[in-house]
Amino acid sequence: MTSRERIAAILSEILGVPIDAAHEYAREQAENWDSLNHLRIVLAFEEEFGVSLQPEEVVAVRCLSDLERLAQRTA
Amino acid sequence: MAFGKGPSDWCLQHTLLAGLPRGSALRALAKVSANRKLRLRCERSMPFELVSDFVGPFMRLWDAEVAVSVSDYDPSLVGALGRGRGEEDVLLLWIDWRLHRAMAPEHAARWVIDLVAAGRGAGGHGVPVLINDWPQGGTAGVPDSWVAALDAALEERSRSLADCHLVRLEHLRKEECPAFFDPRNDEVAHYPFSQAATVHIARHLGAQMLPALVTPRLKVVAVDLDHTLYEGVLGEDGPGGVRAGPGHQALQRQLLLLKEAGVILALCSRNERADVERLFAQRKEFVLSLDDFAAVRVDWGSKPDNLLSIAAQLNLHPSAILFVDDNPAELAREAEGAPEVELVLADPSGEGTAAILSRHPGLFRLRADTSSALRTQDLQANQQREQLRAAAADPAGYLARLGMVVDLFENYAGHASRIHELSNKTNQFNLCLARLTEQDVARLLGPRNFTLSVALRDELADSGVVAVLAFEMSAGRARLVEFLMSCRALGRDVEAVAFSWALGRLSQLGCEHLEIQAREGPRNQPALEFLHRFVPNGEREVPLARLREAAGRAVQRHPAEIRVHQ
Repeated sequence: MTSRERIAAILSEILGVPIDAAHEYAREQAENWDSLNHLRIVLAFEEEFGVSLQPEEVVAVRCLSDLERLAQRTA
Repeated sequence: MAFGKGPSDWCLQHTLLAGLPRGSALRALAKVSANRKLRLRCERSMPFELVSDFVGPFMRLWDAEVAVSVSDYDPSLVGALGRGRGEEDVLLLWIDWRLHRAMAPEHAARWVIDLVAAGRGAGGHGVPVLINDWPQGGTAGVPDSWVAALDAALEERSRSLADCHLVRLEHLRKEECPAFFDPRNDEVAHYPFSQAATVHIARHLGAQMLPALVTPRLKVVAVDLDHTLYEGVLGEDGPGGVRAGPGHQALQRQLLLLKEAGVILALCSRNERADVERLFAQRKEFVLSLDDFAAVRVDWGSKPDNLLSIAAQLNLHPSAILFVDDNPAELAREAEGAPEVELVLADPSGEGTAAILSRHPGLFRLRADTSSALRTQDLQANQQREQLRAAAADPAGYLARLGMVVDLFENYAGHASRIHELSNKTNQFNLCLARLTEQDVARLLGPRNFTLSVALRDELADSGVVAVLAFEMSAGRARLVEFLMSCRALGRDVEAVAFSWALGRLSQLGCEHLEIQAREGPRNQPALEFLHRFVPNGEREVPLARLREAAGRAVQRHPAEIRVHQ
């Protein structure tokens, strides 16, 4: 499973919608990507990839690709 | 079938209780339909959703599931004043105490306790309430005197309100999770706690506090010896050869903590008794001594039979026992031969077993056990009593030999905690199965009712407060709503002494009729048989004079000295 697919799986599980890793998925596309789900996504991402994001990175995450870049940076 | 009977259950115990499970592991646990369904209403001023995400998996450990409803964010918590009343089993006030720093800490604590009392209304009735305190080390990372004073004030004030308990976040921070805060979460969602703290809180609620509110407690932890209480095989390595490293010492310390908190310890092992006695005598680094165990079964008999015999000796139902063994095959035999005993698979180091026991559902106490100091000694004395009974020429001779003193207390508020405890943990001699709340106990101890608490001691041990009879009174009539006796005090006919005396007092108070709210339950046959002695026709309403005469006849030669405290 690629990093992008693992991230898509996290987003899909938390937002409760099917997400295709081949395409971009942004916060604006999901009605329920609110502040609580944003936290759930970031915390699950950190646990999955064994990383800890900086406060400004947590706030700046807007889409699947943002998380993919953070995963690649820490790889 | 209860939880803890097979390899998947034991694996789940280790995953959820031995260490800190990952959020992904908790999310991956599929929801299952559980036997018990609990409704939790949360009135809050900060997010609770991240905690409630993880509470459910821990409730699987006691075959329960939870439905959580959360209020809008409201620092005033006015919803606690009644909205949703009757639609929940437990109310949680989930408070961001940082929003109340303009108040003096004592005033803040008084505000929330007064809010709960007001929500219960003039009758003082309501579901159990949980209120969080606040952990140290928020933003400044230095001891915060406001928080310390708030927590102390909440501790004191919550004790004074029945069925009101603190979710002690500061205790969780100190004992389990130093990195409790995460400013990033606070910035994004005004949720101040870290992911690790969130899982700790969810576990504390799901595996400890909620079962303690609604299920009977486990009363006994029985342990195997080899590869459980130490590393090695006593029969092969000898008393000097088995090893008790830091993990097994931690386990022994945990067992001692449980004993101090009121849990009865028992040994159940296939070994030579003489070896075991030498082991505990020789090994000075052992935290436990043989005297810490109220029941010991060390022989080559079957463990299921021995567990059932421990239950019989302690006058307890087998479902009150949790047994710890290192051998899955043995555990499987115990699951078959003693199916009501709960089981835990010991881990090789001892440390995981200690952690499981520190968090296992049914072992957590919401309030300190008021008679824990007396229990083990009294149970050990029961073995001596049995020897005296066997040696006596007749039952009267046996009772006379004991030198019993029965202290009777009328509406004594100092026994409220003990009465509540007895009502919720007594299963066998429990005539009415009322399962009184703390609020019920406060009402029954009030001026319009009559509650008799009974303390017992004899020449062998002080048993403490062992029985309760509670009556609701109205003109010329009394209704027996609770009659309980601790199983360790049975066999001395003290229940008949107390019953007879209570009937006499009711007569003095002008009662002519007694209504008896006896209920048949799965285990309360001893109480029903007692009632049958005096009410053989099973009537629910009995003329008091007739009952007094029968009870008086039954105890006229009882040798106990009776002392009344009015």
